[in-house]
Amino acid sequence: MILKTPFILDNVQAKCDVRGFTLCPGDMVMPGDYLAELRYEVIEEQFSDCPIVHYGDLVATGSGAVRSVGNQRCGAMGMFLAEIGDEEGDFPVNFVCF
Amino acid sequence: MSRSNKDIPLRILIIGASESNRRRYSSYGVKANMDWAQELERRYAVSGYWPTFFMHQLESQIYNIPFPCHKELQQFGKGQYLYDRRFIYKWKHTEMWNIAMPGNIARLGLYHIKSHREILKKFSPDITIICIGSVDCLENSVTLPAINLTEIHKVSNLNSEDSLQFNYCQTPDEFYDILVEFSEIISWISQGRTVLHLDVIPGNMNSRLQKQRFAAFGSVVKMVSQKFDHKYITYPFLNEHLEDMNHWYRHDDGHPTDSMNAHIANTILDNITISPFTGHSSREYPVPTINVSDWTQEAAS
Repeated sequence: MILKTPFILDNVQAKCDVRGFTLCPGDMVMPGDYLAELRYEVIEEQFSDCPIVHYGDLVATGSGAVRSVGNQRCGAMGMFLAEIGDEEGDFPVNFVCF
Repeated sequence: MSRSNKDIPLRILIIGASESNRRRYSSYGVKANMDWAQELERRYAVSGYWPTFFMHQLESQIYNIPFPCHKELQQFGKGQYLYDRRFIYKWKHTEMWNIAMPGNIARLGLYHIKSHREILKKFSPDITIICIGSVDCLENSVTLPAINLTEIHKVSNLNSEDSLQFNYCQTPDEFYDILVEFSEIISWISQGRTVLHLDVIPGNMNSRLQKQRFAAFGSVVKMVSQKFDHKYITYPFLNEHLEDMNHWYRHDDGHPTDSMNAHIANTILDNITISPFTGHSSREYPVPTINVSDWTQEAAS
């Protein structure tokens, strides 16, 4: 399954910074595991006078062994982070905000 | 709250970020600014954010006239693109200079009041209200062309082709140092009169670490306000309506709603007392003025 940064904002372009993401190939991911802190920033200037920024925790809701890990830590929503387990589809996660 | 001399207007100085003023910089140009002005009127029932609620209620409280009704507040400032930092706005008995700017991180705020401290002192505010630190928590550095820094007055050694970069405070310690320097200048400007520090306004979507950051920066605001004997104001009302995020924050841009703006104003009012007017012989107008009565129908009081 593919772990990628969630699409949390509709109809806008945003960049997502991924922080504290330390998974390595061979690691075992369990439901409830904290994977990273995500910072989203909307990058369309006409929408606001002031940066629109959201933060949240990326938390696993599925499980699997990490097969490979991407290098990028900043990019558009939906950016590849890792391959976990051998099944098809997206690795299930929650974007948790406080 | 009472004033012994009701003929001399009470002066309010507001310094902060886009929670206090969403009028964009001149450098955006006329078209972008006009579009944005219209957008703001579409988004807000009451134009002018918490300062509008605050100024109206202040007028009411001082002079025992009825609280402005929601209809009055909704009409106020339509078509005016509030608040123009280049002008002092005059109500009947109160005057406000709102120099808050969108994206106002602490270092930018410091530069702004430092370079304009002489004319800010000439304004001689009775109450200075500061809201700084929230944008630093969002980790946004800012580069501004000179034209935006000289809206209210020119700045020596700053040429029109210059651009200045300001970096956000990365740690609470860094923010502490900047806020201390900031508060020293504010104390000088306000000459012992009332100063209020508003707490940072937390965002509506936070990671665990981000919540800690807001808490840490908020503690700095509290600490620095106590150090300078300024008043610290926080937002107990934010503990209500937790199940409905949209009650306090706009769903589109995360900024305060009309409701949060009204509550911020009420909270400030609950926490200020005006001592009898001590009097200074001359009140200057260091920048031009706008009479809000020119564009509202106010009942004679």
